[in-house]
Amino acid sequence: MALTPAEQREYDSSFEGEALPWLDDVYRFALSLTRNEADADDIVQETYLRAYRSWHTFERGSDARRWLFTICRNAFLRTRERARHQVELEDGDVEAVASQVAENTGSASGDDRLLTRLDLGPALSQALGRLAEPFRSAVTLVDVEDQSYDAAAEILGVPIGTVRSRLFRGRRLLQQMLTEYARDAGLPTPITPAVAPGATPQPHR
Amino acid sequence: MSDVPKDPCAAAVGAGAVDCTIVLQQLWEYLDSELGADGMHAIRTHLALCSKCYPQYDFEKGFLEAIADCRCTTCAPNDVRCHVIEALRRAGFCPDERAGAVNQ
Ligand SMILES: [Zn+2]
Repeated sequence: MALTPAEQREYDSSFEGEALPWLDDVYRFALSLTRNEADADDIVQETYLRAYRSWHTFERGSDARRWLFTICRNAFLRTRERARHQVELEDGDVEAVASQVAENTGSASGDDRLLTRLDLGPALSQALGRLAEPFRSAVTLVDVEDQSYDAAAEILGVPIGTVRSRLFRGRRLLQQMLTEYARDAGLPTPITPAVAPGATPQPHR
Repeated sequence: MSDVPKDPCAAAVGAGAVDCTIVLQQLWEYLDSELGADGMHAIRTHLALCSKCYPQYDFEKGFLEAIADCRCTTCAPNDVRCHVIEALRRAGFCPDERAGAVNQ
């Protein structure tokens, strides 16, 4: 059904005001899914096109960012279906392997002390980029984009318990990568007086 | 070492419902504000009193804040912004030129 010119202007201006400001956020989420800038570019375009076409279905006053993330995730899944051969092993195998790694890396270890005084910024961005799916998208949504577990579950189309376990494994894996980074960088230890559970407290010096 | 109590959470246990193991297990959910009101209160109370759990809390808090900072370091490149606006224009979108914001 065609809109009157006034309705069309309203449609466009509300889309511009409520959907477009989240472009950086949608791009970061797309990049976390694709890990490839060109693919993220395509998915962001696809997301915004779909969002624009179905803007009339968006419930005013609800969370536009969450709505866009959901569209983005669906756009990603469609492109992935088209390129299925690349990713057959993704969810099951990677998750199983990574969970073993994660379980061997408790935050209770003294390794935590390596991290705290590190300038985490660049190392952390890099580590996040290297984090395997499905952990990366969970960490990106909750930790970077500040979504609740509930919102992340809806966006990713998985139960909330799955979000929690992916998120926690993802965080453990990141901590492990940063610990390795600190060791490789030859950073002196101990760095902080953190008293991890079960660890001997280190004098602060 | 002498400044660390032998049983650092004795006071905390006395004060409330949870012990250190539970607190450490639930630290992330606490930091994510994903525990119910009672759970949040119990952990907050414990952390205020327990010298064993607090440093771990402090560490995890800093870690999560550092991840959140990644938000500031990745933005959509200008190319992506232009591609989106072009695609939208082809679909009939007509941005408010007076605002000018979308073309940046
Ligand atoms: Zn404690």
